[in-house]
Amino acid sequence: MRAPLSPAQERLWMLQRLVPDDASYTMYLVRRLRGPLDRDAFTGAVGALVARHESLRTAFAEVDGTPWAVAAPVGWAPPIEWLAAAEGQVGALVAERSNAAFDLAAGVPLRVAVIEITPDDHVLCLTLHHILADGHSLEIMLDDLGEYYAAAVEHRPARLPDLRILPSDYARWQRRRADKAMPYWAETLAAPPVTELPFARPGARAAVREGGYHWVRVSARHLAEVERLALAHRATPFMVLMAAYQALLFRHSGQDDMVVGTVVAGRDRVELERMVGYLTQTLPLRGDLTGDPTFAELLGRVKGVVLDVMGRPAPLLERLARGVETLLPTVFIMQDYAAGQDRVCGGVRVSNFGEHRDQIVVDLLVEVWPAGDELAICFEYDGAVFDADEVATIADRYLTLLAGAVARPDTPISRLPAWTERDEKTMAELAAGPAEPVADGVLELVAGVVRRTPDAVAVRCGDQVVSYAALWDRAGTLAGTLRESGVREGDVVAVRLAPSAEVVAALLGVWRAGAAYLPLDPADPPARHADSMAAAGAAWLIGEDGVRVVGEGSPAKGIAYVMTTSGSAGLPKAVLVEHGSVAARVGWMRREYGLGPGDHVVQFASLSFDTHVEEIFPALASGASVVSLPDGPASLPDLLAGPDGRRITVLDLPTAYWHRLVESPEEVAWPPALRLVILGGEQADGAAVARWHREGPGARLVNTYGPTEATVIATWAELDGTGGRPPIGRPLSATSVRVLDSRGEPVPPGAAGELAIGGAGVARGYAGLPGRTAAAFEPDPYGDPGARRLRTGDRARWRSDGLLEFLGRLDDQVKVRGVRIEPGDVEAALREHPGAGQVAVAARGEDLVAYFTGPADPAELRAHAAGRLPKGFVPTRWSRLAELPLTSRGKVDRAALPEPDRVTRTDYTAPRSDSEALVAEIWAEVLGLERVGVLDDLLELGGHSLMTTRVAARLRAMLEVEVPIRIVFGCGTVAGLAEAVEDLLIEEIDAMSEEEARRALTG
Amino acid sequence: MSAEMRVVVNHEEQYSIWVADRELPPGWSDAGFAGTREECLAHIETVWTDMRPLSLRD
Repeated sequence: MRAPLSPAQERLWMLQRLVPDDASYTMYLVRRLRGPLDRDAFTGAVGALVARHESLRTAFAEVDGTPWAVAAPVGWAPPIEWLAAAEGQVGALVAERSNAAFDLAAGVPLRVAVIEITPDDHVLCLTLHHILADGHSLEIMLDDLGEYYAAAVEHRPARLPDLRILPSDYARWQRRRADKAMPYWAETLAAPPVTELPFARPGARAAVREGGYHWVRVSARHLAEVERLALAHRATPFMVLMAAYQALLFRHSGQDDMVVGTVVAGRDRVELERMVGYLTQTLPLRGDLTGDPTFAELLGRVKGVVLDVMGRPAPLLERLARGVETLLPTVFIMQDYAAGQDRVCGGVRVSNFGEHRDQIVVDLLVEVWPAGDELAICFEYDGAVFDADEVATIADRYLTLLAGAVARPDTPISRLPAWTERDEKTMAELAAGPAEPVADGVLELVAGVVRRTPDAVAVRCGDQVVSYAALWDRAGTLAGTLRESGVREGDVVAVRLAPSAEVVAALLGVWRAGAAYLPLDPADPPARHADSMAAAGAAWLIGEDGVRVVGEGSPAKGIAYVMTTSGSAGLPKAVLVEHGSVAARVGWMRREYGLGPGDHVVQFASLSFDTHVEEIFPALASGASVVSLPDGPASLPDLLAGPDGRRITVLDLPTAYWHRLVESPEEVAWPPALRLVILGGEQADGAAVARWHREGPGARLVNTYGPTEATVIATWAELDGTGGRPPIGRPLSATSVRVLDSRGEPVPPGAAGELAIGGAGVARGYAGLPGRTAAAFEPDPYGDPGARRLRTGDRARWRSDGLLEFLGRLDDQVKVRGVRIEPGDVEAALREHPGAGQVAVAARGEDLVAYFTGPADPAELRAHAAGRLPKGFVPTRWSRLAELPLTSRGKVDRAALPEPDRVTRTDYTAPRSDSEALVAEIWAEVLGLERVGVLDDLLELGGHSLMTTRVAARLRAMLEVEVPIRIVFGCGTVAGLAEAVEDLLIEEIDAMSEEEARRALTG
Repeated sequence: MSAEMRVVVNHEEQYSIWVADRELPPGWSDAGFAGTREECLAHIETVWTDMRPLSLRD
């Protein structure tokens, strides 16, 4: 007779189907049996055990994609595999069995092996799929097996209480309960956060997990304190330990809303106590750590949540929007039984045999076991997500925090001791870059090169070749003109010139006149130029028509240049960068990039990016040549292919652009002389870096990071192609970098926070914006007295290898194709158009998407934006919405802005081919809908993972083609799945002989 | 409401804000105003009228 599965079983069945070779759900009972083993009695005991427990006789059948439990009749017993091996070989035999996956379609997933070492020494190796049993069940099985064996040996009836309930009854009951609990879970788990774990690299997860274990102990003294605190708050030790775990995660991520799972036995009814079955329930606990509670307050909150969820059936995760891997990356369990006690049954001594578990089902599982008057805590981790050392560090910090919390429970969680002495030392070591010898002024260095090698080529631009002497002369002439026009020390002069030798001369000329330059990209609209000049306080402009006065200036002595960046109110912010900062950066770059005469450095960046500083000045200060691109950055491949390009030795490229070049090697001829490529602006892609080192020109690759406010770059990393996601590295010389928590205190490796940059590169501030300057530039407690550091608004984390990784923004600022944009800046410009309505701007991949509610035509809005904004700020996709999604606080919910593709496809689209018609029909049937449009998102329509097996089953029945569930799962739309099915059919036809194919097509 | 931030100033008369209950970093002194972050920044808008570092003023 067939019976439905419990919800937890159904999920396991699904997971095993998704990854059939995953042995994570293979459970085992391995015990050393010392003493004379009576094989007949043992075989009889195994038979009696599976007769008693229906679960151990249950196989699984799939009918139309739905799994059913089918129990074999009483009397069925698994074959027993009798083996013999030397002691040294037993471990391998056991591991082979306990690490083997079960095929759930191939009979009862239970195997029994007994390995004989000597006639009086055996190892029992019983393995079964988790779908049949749980941890408690293993203890029950061992108890019952021992009793049956002892009874047989002692020629007496077994003394076991009757079981009054069958697993199939339980499954039906649990399904009803789980259904009823769903409204509770849907509310509790609404908009769940993705819980971030210390050090974790969730992107590295493999389909089949492998991992390790790290054990620590809570001493008897600390356990007594835990128990005392629990008692004082009428809570349990588990609640104290869970609160400490949540506090630990908070200290690493800053997340005050998180989900941590726990597992309960699910045997809270007496009939269930002795039943073998998969009864444990994984319960997600939503942690509320808002408002920086004291540890005692947090304990009270955890207690409330635990009492609320205990006794409830687990949520049906496949009915929640997000999968278990992202909803529950971590589970914290307290076991209340001591497993694996030795025992004697019928003259056989039963004891544990070795450690050979490597099944990992979540990223990090913390299991607390009673161990005499202490606690043993096992940190079980996915080895792709964490290193062993990292988990050991997490465990040390957990014990540190727990000890501090129980000693002073009235401490706010943000101030509990969480970092170890080693952490404190590491933080201090990582923060500071090497000292920079007193940096020479850039202008003095260039003057030195002019004196030493006046005839060397300073700038090459198309046919134009300008020597150092000529460049210096031109700069001097321009400086004279500027002074005659009234420019004085500290004035700001705008430079608006196309890429050329003239530009380089102009920058030097402004400096020689004692002024600061404001670079403008001639491709940007005049309205933006006016805004930039006003923000920077520029009174003069150097353009193609010479020098002219453009307004009132506000002088700023000691400033080398003023860069405007995106501001949030529709106006640019002007960053004032001092000569000392530029000198420190140029000093580091010359050394680290190894620049000298003979180098040819391309001036790729538009002057509106401070990258131009990195390209021009270190080269000129070193006697190298700067190679301009008169036809703009897009002409780089042409330059590289030509004779001038073959000489290029150093390239500084926006990361996004470099990615594209690496992806299409046929489009670019890397120069043979190329020795260094510097990246910056965006997260570098690990695959592209690997490809560069595999197939690229063999040049060194350096990653850089830094906001304009910290003078071009602040950190750097050698990208040698090792170690996953490329880091942004470590601080440059004369620079300090710290990752700060919400209180502004530094955090050690593994914890995420805001990146703060101190040292020589810290800019003076934003011209004319005291509030914004004070907010971004704060006291640096680690710098010279009175020094300031920059709060970057970037989120970062030290890795365990001491390199920083970039994690994103803490505010709305986005980067699109390397351009830093405040969405508010673009939104303000768009709102000026009368037909725009409400506006929101968001980055989607390489697109800046504008969402608007007004009647205006996107082409009109685009033209409007192009007249006001720098070209990189003009949205590239346009999407009209009925209204903007809002958060509960009434702000635009940027995360809820739809993918622009879907926006245009909300209408029903009828099937356009037979395969689409078929797939749409199947999905409509499975979803219980009248019709499904071929472009509708199936998950949005309520499709979930379990339905995919039904869809696959129907496709198999109708087309006789095996569609892997992963393909069904991965296809977002009917159109996508139909295409995949067609591909599979074509493959199948290709594999047939011509005769077969003809028959298949005509038959 | 308790003050969460305070306005601070350094020897160059550059202003900034600092968590009220954290120790002042060396070289910074209390500028005599405390409040929310926004209040402190608004106060700085009114008092920091010459943004040039003190040593570079004419």
